[in-house]
Amino acid sequence: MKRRQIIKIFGAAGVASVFGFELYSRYQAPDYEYLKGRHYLIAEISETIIPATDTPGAKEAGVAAFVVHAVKEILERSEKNTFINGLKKLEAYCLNVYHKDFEKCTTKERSEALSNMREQFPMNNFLRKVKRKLTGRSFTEILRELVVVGYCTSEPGATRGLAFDYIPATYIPCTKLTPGQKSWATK
Amino acid sequence: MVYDAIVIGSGISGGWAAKELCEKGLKTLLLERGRDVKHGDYPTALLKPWEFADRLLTTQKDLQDQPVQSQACDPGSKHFFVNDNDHPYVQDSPFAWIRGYQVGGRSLVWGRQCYRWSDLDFEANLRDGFGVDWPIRYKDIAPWYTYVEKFIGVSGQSDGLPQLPDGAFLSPMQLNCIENHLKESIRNKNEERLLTIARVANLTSPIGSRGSCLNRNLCSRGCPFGAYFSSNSSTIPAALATGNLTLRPFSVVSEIIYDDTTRRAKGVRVIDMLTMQHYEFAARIIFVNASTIGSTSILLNSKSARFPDGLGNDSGALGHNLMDHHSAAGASGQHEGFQDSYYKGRRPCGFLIPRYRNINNGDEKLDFVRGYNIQGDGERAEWPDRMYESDETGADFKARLTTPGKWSVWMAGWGECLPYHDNKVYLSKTKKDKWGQPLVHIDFSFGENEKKMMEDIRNTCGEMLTEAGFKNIDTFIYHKSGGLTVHEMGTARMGRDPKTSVLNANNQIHNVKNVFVTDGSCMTSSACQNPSLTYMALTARAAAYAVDQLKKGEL
Ligand SMILES: Cc1cc2nc3c(=O)[nH]c(=O)nc-3n(C[C@H](O)[C@H](O)[C@H](O)COP(=O)(O)OP(=O)(O)OC[C@H]3O[C@@H](n4cnc5c(N)ncnc54)[C@H](O)[C@@H]3O)c2cc1C
Ligand code: SF4
Repeated sequence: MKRRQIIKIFGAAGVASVFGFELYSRYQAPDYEYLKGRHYLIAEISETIIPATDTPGAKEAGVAAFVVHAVKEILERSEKNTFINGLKKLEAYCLNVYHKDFEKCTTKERSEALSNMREQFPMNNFLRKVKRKLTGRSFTEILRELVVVGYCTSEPGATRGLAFDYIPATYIPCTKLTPGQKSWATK
Repeated sequence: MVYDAIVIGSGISGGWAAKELCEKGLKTLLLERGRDVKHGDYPTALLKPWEFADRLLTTQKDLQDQPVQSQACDPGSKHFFVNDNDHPYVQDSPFAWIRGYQVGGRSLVWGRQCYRWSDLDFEANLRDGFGVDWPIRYKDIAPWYTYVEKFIGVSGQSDGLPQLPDGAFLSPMQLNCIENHLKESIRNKNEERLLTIARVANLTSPIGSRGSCLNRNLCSRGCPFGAYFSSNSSTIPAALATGNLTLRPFSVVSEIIYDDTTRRAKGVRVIDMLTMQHYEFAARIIFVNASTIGSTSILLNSKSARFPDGLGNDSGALGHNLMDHHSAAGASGQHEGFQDSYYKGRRPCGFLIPRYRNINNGDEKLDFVRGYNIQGDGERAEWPDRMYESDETGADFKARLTTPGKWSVWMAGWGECLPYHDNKVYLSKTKKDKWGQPLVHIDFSFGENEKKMMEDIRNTCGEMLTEAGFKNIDTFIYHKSGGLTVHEMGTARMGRDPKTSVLNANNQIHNVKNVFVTDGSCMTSSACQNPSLTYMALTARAAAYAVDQLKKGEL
């Protein structure tokens, strides 16, 4: 439901009480000050999701800068807030449970903390679309999509994490997959 | 000065009109409302994904500027689509009017699928009574299809099907493993169905200075190699080479001027987009190629004592019978096999299953008339799909993300839309754009026949995938508004009878013989094939006729 419709039905004042703080907070002005200060946190989170192995990880691929850019330019307002509020919750969770900041946590703790943030994340395409329509994407979903896009479309991610074929020249319809072969970076 | 010919619009059909008229020696003025785009002037064509600040995602600003167009473009191609705020129209019902206002029009961004019609299509209206009869048959247009195909270059497979005649093809693109598997399965179960490679205006061998396709699949950004057909790479350079072409960008044609004494059109009125100055240009013949809704708006706006309801609108048919294909129904599925196979390169097209419904005089007793073809493609799951496969983090997730997953096929039916009188465009009496031109209203919806056809598409697509051993099959009917297949046509239809149609068999306005309308607005029915090849063939045919008539002194 769009903000305008909500106001039409309930009047601006009634919104918070009817839908609760969760939904209301989606429509606040996004806390960019906070976001700006969390570049390092996003870098750590993205590296947890896509770590450096024999190929570059999210940090080397500069994913955090893209995520911050995308939150500002690409997400719609309610999703901006979902994302920023999600980061705040993640920080609070680490302080409460592990008594330290996310970036001080072990790999295992970090993964745990991230999966704790997981809301219902339907695997089924159709269900995901329905949920998205109703509430917008969840923090986990937005985070993963932005991190993955940021990585797979970066130069290190596309050319070394994946296989980038700039000008293929020919189309070979059926090839044998070689062991360890990466998938193509672009469609 | 009086030109021999004026062509309004430089897109797919207007480029052809200009080329043909210039090559036949006519001094031709090509008027285009948008800016000039020279071949090669394609700023995003060679950019790598990381060279886009937004990494090819649509931004909130894009959505504000292009709420309608953004459904059809991405940051790689958005500069070839209009800004919706600058070019408003009124949607009486939801209809996406996808436009490119520049030299080349939408020839820069089109999907390049090229299919001939057959008599199954040209006779359809006569057979089942929807719409008026086409004044032409396949034999009238067949040589023009060949003529156009040879110039633009169409790669494709000859299949010998009566409902989808073969053309003058360059060697076909190739099906991949999963597509060949589906093809075999379909052939074994259903001998009247055939899966074949798409027929596309992408070159598999060079034509003149235009090179072969390098399989980048970035065509909507413009092709620096000229490897697909656009007005910019092909027809406009050919027209310019004759020395007979004057190209005038930023020229919004507001109306065609009718002369009551000669009972002919004498020229056009133009508003310079940049200076707002008004001009008149005179010519002996006029070709109207501003795209379906654009051309019809110009005709509706061209009022005179003789034609108070729009030029050539004696029948009242002008503006009516708007059609667009539907492409909302289909199915997708995954296949567990062929795990050791992959592909290399990005083929700029998919596959086609030509029409298989109602091709034998309706023996099948279906609850809808006409038919559809299936377009789709097969590929292995790559990162854009694989990110949803699991919610793990770390090295395992990365390994999954960066390696090929299961094969999948997505396919949907491109379906015929009947001509309905109620689906229409007309001009606003009150609302105007920046240039003082009346806004267009569009009122369109799909009817029962289209909805029943969508059900059938969903079922047959699901069946074909099931029979071929696909899993996780998702059969769908998306809720898409009209316009989104971008095959809008009709609204100034050809016909045999001036009382029920606007144009005759040569695309001439019945009662204004020196005006030819040869874009999608001339279409009497929609068939299910992507239509632009037919617009080009009709344009070349009408141009030859016009020049012949001029020479004989009949025009
Ligand atoms: C993403 C996409 C994919 C497509 N795929 C396919 C496909 O695979 N196969 C297929 O057959 N078709 C396809 N189409 C449709 C195809 O692009 C159109 O059918 C075709 O471009 C129509 O040609 P046209 O000459 O009528 O109009 P256009 O190519 O749109 O050109 C019209 C020109 O007229 C100009 N103009 C408009 N009004 C005025 C005016 N008042 N004064 C002066 N100039 C004016 C415009 O600026 C424009 O340059 C696709 C379209 C899109 C957007
Ligand atoms: S895929 Fe082929 S035709 Fe398309 S832009 Fe690339 S080289 Fe040109």
